[in-house]
Order: sequence, then C-alpha cells, then structure tokens
Amino acid sequence: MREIGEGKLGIFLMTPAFILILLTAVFPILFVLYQSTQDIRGITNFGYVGLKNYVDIIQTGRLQSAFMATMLFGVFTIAIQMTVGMLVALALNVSFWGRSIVRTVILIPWAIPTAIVALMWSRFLSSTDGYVNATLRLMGLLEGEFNWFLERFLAIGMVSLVDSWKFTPIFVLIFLAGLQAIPKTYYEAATVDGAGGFKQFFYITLPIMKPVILVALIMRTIFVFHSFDLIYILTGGGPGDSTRVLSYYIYQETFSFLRPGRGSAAAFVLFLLTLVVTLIYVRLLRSKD
Amino acid sequence: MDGKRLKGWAKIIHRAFIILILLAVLVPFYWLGVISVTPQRHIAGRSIPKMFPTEDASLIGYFQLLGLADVEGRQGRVAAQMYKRSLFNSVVVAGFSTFFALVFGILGAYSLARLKFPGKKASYLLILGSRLLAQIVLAVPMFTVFRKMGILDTYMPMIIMNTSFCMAWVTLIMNNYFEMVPSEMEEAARVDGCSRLGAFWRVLLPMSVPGIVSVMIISFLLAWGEFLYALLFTSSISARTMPVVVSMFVGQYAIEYRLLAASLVMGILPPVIIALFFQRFIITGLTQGGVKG
Repeated sequence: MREIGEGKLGIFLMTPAFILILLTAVFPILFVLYQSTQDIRGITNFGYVGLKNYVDIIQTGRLQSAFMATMLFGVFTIAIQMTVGMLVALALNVSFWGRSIVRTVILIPWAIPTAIVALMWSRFLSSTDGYVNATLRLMGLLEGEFNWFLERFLAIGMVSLVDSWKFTPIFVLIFLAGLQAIPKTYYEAATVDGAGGFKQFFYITLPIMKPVILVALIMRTIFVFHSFDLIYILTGGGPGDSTRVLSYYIYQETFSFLRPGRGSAAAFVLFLLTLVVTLIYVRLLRSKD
Repeated sequence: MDGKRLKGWAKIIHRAFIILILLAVLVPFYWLGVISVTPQRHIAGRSIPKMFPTEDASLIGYFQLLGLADVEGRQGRVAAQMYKRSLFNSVVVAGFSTFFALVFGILGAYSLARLKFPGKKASYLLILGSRLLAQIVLAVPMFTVFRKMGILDTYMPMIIMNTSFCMAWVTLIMNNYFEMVPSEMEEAARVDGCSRLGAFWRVLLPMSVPGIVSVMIISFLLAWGEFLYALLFTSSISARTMPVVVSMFVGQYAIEYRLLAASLVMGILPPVIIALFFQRFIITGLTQGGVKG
C-alpha cells in the first residue's frame, strides 16, 4: 500500500481545525463588519445605512465613554496584577518550607469560573451584611454602611481588585518561570561586587526579565480589554456608565437595546483595538529576534 | 529548583508576606464555606454576620441542591431543580468541547509540527489570531447565525464556540510540545515499516501524554467556566450551564444565602480538585502556552 503524500496528509489533518476557525473566527468578523453598516432593529433588517451606526454611537458619546472605561479598567487592572504578581513571584523564588503548597494554592482562584468569583465577591462586598465590611467594623475601621460601588473610580478599582484576585496567578507563574531561568551565578557575582537586593533586582532581574514581562503584559492587556463576566455580575456597567467597558456596551446595544447594527459597529471598534495591540505585540516579538 | 535562603528580618518579612498571600486566597473560601452551612438569620441583614459556624450549622443547603432535602418556598424549589440540571448541562458542554478541541487541535498541531503542506503558515496565523478575538465580538454575529440555524437554546452553539476557542489553545501548546520531541524515534519507526500516521499514533502520541493531559485539563477548566456564550445562546433550563444559572440566583431568584453559597461551593469543587491534583500540568500549560483571561 502506498502512503498518501506529505502535503496531502498535512492539509487533510489541518482541515477540521481550519474550517472551524473559518466559521467561528474569520466569518464572524466579516459578518460583524457587514451588520455594522445595516439598520437592524430587533431581528428586522431595514437595509444599508453606510457609516450611520458609527456616527450614532460617537454622537451619543457612548463609544468614547466605553473606550475611556476600558482604558481606565485596563490600566488599573494591569498595574495591580503586574506589581503584585512580581512581588509574589519574587517571594516564591526563595526557598522555604511549604513553597510548593503555596504555589498550588494560588492556582485555585485562576481555576474557578469567573462568574462564580464575581458572585462570591458581590456577596462579600455587600454594604450591609458583607464580610468585608463586617471585618472592617470588627477592626474599628468602619461604622455604619459603606457602598463599594457607589463612586466612579472606586467602582472601577473594586472590579479591578476582584479581577486581580482571580488573574494575578497567571503573572505569578510566568514571572516565576522567568526568574528561575536566570542563572544563579549572576547574583553571586553581584553579591561579591557588593550589590544589595534592590540593586540586583533593578540591574539584573528586570533587564533579563524584560521580554517575559512585555509578552505577558501585552497578552493580558488584550484579554483585560475583553472582560465581561465580572462587570456583568458586579456592577452592570454602573454607577452611571463608569464601568461600562466596550464589551459590556456591545452587549447592551445588541441584546438589551436590541440594536445589533450599533452593537456591531462598537464590536468592530473593539476588534480594531485588539488588532492594534496585537500588531504592537508582533513588532515587539520581531525586534526581539 | 532551589532558590536562595533568607536570614534575620528579611526572613520574618518574607514569611509574613507569604502568610498574607495565603490569607488573601483562602479567607474568601472560608467565608463562602461558613455561609453555605449557616441559617439565613445569622447572616442576612446583620452588620456583623457570623464569622464561625454556629451550633445549628448543617449541610442541608447541599442536600437541597442535590434533591435530597425539601426546599421551603417555590422560588427556592425551582432554583434547586434548575441547579441540578445546569450541572448536568455543564458537564455535557465542557466534556464535548474538550473532546473535540483535543481531537482537532492535536491533529492540527501534528501537521504543523511535522508535515510540510501549502497554506501551513496561513493556518498557523489564523489559529493564533483567533485566540485573541473578544468573545463578545464573535457572539454578536454568531447569535444571528445560530438563530437562523434554529439551534439557539441547545448545547450546539456553546459546544461549537468553546471547541473553537479551546482548540486554538490546544493546537498552539501541542505544536510547541511536538516540536520539543525529537523526530528521530518516529523516523526509526518509519524505517521499520510504520506509516506516517502509525508513527504518530504509536510513537509520538505516547511520548506526549503529559502535554495532552495538560491541554485537556486547561480546556476543561475554560469550558466549565465559560459564561458569555452560555448567557446569550440559551434561554431556558434545557441548555443553561451552571455559571449562568447561579448568576440568576442573585436578583431574579430571591433564595437563601445558604443555598446560594452551597451552589457556588459545588460549582467550584470540580475545578479546585483538578487544580490540586494536576497543578504541575496546569503550570506547564499556562507558562508555555501564553495567557488566557
């Protein structure tokens, strides 16, 4: 029996994956671009309207506010997670009893569903009978009630913190793997030269870790720009429109206000934003080689 | 790998920080556990809810969810029934998505790693890029598509979308993995008369079991926790998965905190157990394959 050729076999084995990606990733992007030029109300399409949907979402100011919320949420979240992630990774790079247990424990928040994380914390952060406020009251730091989601920046900050509770482990694991790849002799030489811990961190650790940090930063930025579950459950976009990030705004336009045309226009904007961040990422990878 | 050791003050600060990390991760689970066994009156509306299990603590919330004990009130009863069904739905959706993602992804990864064929680079870039698209951007057009196909509120849309996302992940990680395995063994098997696919099946796959376990676990965890597609593409309990049903318990269904907390504990139990038993595989997968959030 003769074997089929390498090229044919390659195409054959790739086909299922290729078709699935065409149908669930390539086609939807083209379709969202098409829908964004249509006047659709509910499930009825009233035809081509050009760029009207884009003009509408800009003129109502909703697109700009969603863009700002996305950026603010992204900056808060990434700043918290990178800083805490690096601190925890440094702490876990030291020998101590129970190190592997700690490393396993910090995986747990990552492994559980985001929706459940949001539900847990919305219960704990309840202003009357939540455990966070109760703990503060027991410590004498709080009297009466406190609503964690009443004020604009506080609400964004709280969603960022809950997001960080779940996703910081990813940074920890990536940073830890990077730290462990740095040869110990570097630090030994620095110690001989009289460089202390802080100097070693800024002159040895950070420069060597730079590529690892950049890749993790950009990948996480893309995913933070897409987050939906936490905001849907914790704030519903509020107070006002302060936590209505792009993905939540797209959801509202399409599925609450039933204007899929405008929703598609906002969705295409989010796609373009993702594309820009991705291109920066590709450039960085290239310049590294 | 062995890290350095600390002495004196540095050691004390370090250990204090480690304890802080452990508390930050574990205390919320402790609170959740306490709520899940404590009667409503000790918690709801109190400025200081009970921090420790009371004398009348019981596991009745869990029994109610599993249908082993009666629930008071109609809403509670409906919620408990929905929850049981939603766990079944979640297992079906996560199970099928993981299975298809593994089959398609591993075949794709093999052809990317070992075979030369036209369109190889394009396929790789498409799969890599698909992983970076926002769920909501895909959900808006796919909702129309699934509606026209008449398959909304069935398992199909969720299985299709989860398979696609997890498959991209599987392909990329397994492609890395296959490239790390030297191809000499397969070549030796082929000299001995094995076909290309035979060498893949008998030599490469058995050597790649750790990688396969790792992508299987991560796929399952991603599919188990998926929320947005399940929220949008289902409209009744016939297909709704667990995360969507518990999200409805807050607000739409006024149920006891105990029942809510018990449903959350049962929902996180499978991932927690998996994380504890397979931590090594998860860590390799996550640090190798990039990051999903």
